[in-house]
Amino acid sequence: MENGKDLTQLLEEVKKMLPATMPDAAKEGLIQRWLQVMSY
Amino acid sequence: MKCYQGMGYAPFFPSPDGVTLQADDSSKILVDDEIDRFIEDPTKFLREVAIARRYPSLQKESPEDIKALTGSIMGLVDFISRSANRQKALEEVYQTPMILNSTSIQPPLDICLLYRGFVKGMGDLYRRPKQVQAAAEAIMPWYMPPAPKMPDFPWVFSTFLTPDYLNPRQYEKFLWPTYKKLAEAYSAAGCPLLVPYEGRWDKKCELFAELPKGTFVVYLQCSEEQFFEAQAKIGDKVALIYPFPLEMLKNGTKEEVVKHTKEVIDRAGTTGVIMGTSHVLNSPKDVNHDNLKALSDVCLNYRP
Repeated sequence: MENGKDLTQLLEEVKKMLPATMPDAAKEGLIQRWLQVMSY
Repeated sequence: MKCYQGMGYAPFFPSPDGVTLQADDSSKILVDDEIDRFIEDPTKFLREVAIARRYPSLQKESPEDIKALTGSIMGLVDFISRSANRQKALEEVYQTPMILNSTSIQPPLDICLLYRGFVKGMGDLYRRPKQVQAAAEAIMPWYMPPAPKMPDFPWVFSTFLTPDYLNPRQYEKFLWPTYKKLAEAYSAAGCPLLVPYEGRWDKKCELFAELPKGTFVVYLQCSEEQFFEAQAKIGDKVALIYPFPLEMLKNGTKEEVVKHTKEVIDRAGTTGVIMGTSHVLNSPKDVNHDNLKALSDVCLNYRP
């Protein structure tokens, strides 16, 4: 953690809150898209 | 978008007209001494450093940080869901075919310049060219096709931000290599890229013809005469959208529209050309609906 904060653990927590029926690949895809959107 | 709400910072802000959005150029994503780390693993860098630094709400103590993060991600889910509903309504209620699928790509160089901020990023092309090229290569996998084979319609949306600010040599050196690899991958997957190309496109646009026929559908910002110049240069490889004059569609007579449409078809042919308008239609009053129907009828039925 430098100049910021490592979100890895927090993102894992959020993934657990997503619907259990959602495939893991879709959850990771959503996180990846979120990272890109928030970086624009 | 709701994903920015409650995050303590919004990278976009409205212009004085209250409608058009502008991007904040103080990107806060990538500072000078972090570029090599970014190149090593861009996704890891966003997760571990850049995103939390950019959004103050993520710096808060638990559980405020997780609350902000959850709200932001659910805001994106809401946006995706609304977009899907809007598309469904357009298709089912208004019988409007969707020409774009949910995938969109950008030249990796555009993202590098965005992350550095435009002012710093343009300077990087001179100060640290090898790092810029390496960063573009590192980002490129984000935009690869989501599947080895894709339907050939709807198309993938491919926007360009920076070509008008690059000279032809910079364009070929920094933007084209990684973008070309992406275009080749979509060509192999079988899904064309729709490219709206603004500004000066002449020499740069000719590189599109390096790719196999059917890779690109390009909407050039150009006059009718410039369209024919472009068609002569790249029309056998690239599908081009014709800029039918919007002023005629709005203010001309139906007879004028029919006559001009036939003239266009006579000259442009019926292969590799898609009839479009010289400016985007943003509201119902932008066009005379009877004229638009006449244009459509001629395109469907007239063959020279």
